Amino acid sequence: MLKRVHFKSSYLPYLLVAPQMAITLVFFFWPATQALYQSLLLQDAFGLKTEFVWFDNFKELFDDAYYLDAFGRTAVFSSLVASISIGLALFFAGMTDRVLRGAMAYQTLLIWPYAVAPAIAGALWVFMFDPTLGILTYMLQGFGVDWNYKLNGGQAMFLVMAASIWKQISYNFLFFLAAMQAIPRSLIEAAAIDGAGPGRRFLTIILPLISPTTFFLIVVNIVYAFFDTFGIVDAMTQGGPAKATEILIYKVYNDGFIGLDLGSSAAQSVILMFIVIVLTVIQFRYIERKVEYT
Amino acid sequence: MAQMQILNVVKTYGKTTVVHGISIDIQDGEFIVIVGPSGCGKSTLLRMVAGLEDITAGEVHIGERLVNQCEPKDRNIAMVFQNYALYPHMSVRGNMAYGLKLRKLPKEEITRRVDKAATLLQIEGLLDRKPRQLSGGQRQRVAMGRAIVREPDVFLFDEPLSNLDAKLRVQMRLEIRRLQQRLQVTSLYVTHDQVEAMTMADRLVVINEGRAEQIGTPMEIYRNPDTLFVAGFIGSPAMNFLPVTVHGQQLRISDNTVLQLTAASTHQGPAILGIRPEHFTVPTNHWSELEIIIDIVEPLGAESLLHGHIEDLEIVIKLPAAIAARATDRFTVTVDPQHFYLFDPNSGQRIRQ
Repeated sequence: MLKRVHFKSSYLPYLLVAPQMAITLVFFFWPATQALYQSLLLQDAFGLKTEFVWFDNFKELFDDAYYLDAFGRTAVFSSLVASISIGLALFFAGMTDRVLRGAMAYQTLLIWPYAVAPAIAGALWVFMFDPTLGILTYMLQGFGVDWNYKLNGGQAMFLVMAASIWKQISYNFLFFLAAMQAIPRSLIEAAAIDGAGPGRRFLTIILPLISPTTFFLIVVNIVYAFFDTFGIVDAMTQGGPAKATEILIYKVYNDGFIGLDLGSSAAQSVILMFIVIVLTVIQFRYIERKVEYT
Repeated sequence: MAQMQILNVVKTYGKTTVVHGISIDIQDGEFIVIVGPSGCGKSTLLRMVAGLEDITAGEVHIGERLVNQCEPKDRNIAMVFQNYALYPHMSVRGNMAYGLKLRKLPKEEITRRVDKAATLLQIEGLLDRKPRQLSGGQRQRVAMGRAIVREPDVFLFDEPLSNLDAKLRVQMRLEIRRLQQRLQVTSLYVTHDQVEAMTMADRLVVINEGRAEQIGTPMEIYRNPDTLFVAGFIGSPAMNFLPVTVHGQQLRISDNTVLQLTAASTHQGPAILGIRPEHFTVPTNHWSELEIIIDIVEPLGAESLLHGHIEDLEIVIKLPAAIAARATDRFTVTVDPQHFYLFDPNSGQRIRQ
C-alpha cells in the first residue's frame, strides 16, 4: 500500500526533494552524461586533439582479448564472492539464531569487519599473506605450501576473493539474522513438534521464508563484487600479477587514469553502468514479493 | 490416545521459579483446562509437556513413557498455538501434510488423512489457499486440522481462541469441544478466560503464581473453591469479598450489619466472607438481611447486575430482571447462609464449617 501525503502549497514538496535532486544531479547525472559523451570520443596520446568516433570505442573493446578476459574473470570473481559470502553468512546467521548464551558477543564480533574500510581490509590481508613477512605465509610454508601471491596469479585471485568475502559476510549476516528473527518463534516450534529436526526446519521453513532477503542480498552482493572491491584490489595486488586480478572496475581505473585511454575507459564504465541498471531493474521488479509472516 | 501424568514439575529460570511443583493425573480422553491469570506459569507448564522448554525437576509421562528427555517430535503430541503458527509459504494442504511427510507416510495415506480432517473441519474448499488468504476462524481450523491429521496421543492448546473476536470464540469453543469428544484424544488446554475454562473442561486446573490452587470439575470448583484466589477467579461476575469478624454464630461486617450463620463457626476472629453475585435474593423471613446502596444497574436482558456498596465495600448483585426492576436506591437483599464462603485472611485458605 502506498501512502500519499497531500500538501496544500505547490512549492513545498519540490523544496523538500530539492537537496536530494541536487545531489543526484551533481554526483550521478552529470558524471554519467560525461561518461556517455566521452565514450564516443578518441583522444590522441598527447591530449592535443579529440575526435568523435561514434561507437568505435565499444567495438574495439569487444574485439579486445584482454577486455573479454577481464569480463570472464569478473563474472567468476563476482559469482564466487557473492555465493560464498552469502552462503557463509547464512550459515553463521542460522547458527546465531540458535545460540542462547553469548549471542550478543557473537553477533558483535561478526559485525565488526563491516566497519573496516575496503583499503584497510586489503592492507590487513596483505600483511598476513605477504610473501616475505606474512604470518600466514610462514604457517603455510610450514605445511609445505609455496605461497607467493605476487608471482602466482591463482593465489593472488584467491587472496583478493578471500578478503572481499570476509568483508561482505558481516553485511549479509546482519540481513539474514534480522530476517530470521522476524520469523515467529512459534513457527519453528510448530515445525519441531511436527517432527522436523534443526536441519530440516532450516531447509523447509526458514530458508523459504527468508527468500526475499536472499534475493536482495544476491543483487547487492553482485554489485558489491563488481564495484566496491576496487579498494581491496588496489591495496593488495593492483590487478596483478599479469592482470590475474584485474576485474572490470580495476581495468576502468587502470586504462583511464594510468593508461590515459579516456575514451576506452569511459566506454567500459558505460558498460558497467548498464550492468548496474539491469541489476537494479531486476531487484525492483522481483524484490517486492514480500512474504507475510502470519 | 493415552493417559498422562505430570508429577511435581518445576521450572526455574536462573533464580526465579515460575512453576513450583505441579502434579496432574490425566485420564485417557480427558479434556483438561489449565486456567490462571497471565504470567502464572500455565503456558510454561504446557510448553514443558510439549518439550519446547526443559523440565527443571519432576516427571512428565505420556502413556507409559517418561518423556522428560524426548524431543518434541518424539512425544507424539500435536499443538495448536495462539497465533496459529501456520507456515505462510505453504498451502493449507501443505500445512496439514507437513508433519505426515516428515514421518514418511505413503502419499495416499497423507491425502486420505488430510481430506478426512478437512471434511471434519469443513475446510475442503480452502485446501489450495495460502494462510494469508484465510480469515482468523479459518486459520484456526487449519491449525486444528494440522493437529488432527497427526493422530497424536495428546492435543495441546495454547490459548488458541484469544486472537478471535468474541462471537467466533464462542462458536470455536463449542467446535473444539465437539471435535475432542468425537476424537476422544486426551487434551491439555491453556487459557486465561475463566468462561472458556468452565464451559470446555472435563476437569479444571486453576494455577496461581506457579502453583496448582485447585484441581476438579468446573462445578466442583465453582461450588466448592478451596482458596480465596480460586473463588475470585472462577465465576462471572467475580465473587464479592467482605472483611468480617466472626463472633460465635455471627458475622459482623460493620456495627449495623450482622449476618447469622446456621451454626457457630469453628473459626473465630477476622475472616473474609465471599458471596457470589448470583446468590443474593430478595428478603425472605429466614435469613438475615443486608441493606445495599445501589449505584448502577446493568441490564443484561434476562438478568441485571446491580453495582452497589455497603459502607465503603463494593458489592455486585445478579438478579432476574423482573426483580431487579424493583430495586431502589437502598435495596434490601438476603443470602442463604449455605452460600457463605469463609476464608482465612492470612493464608487465603477456605474455612470449612
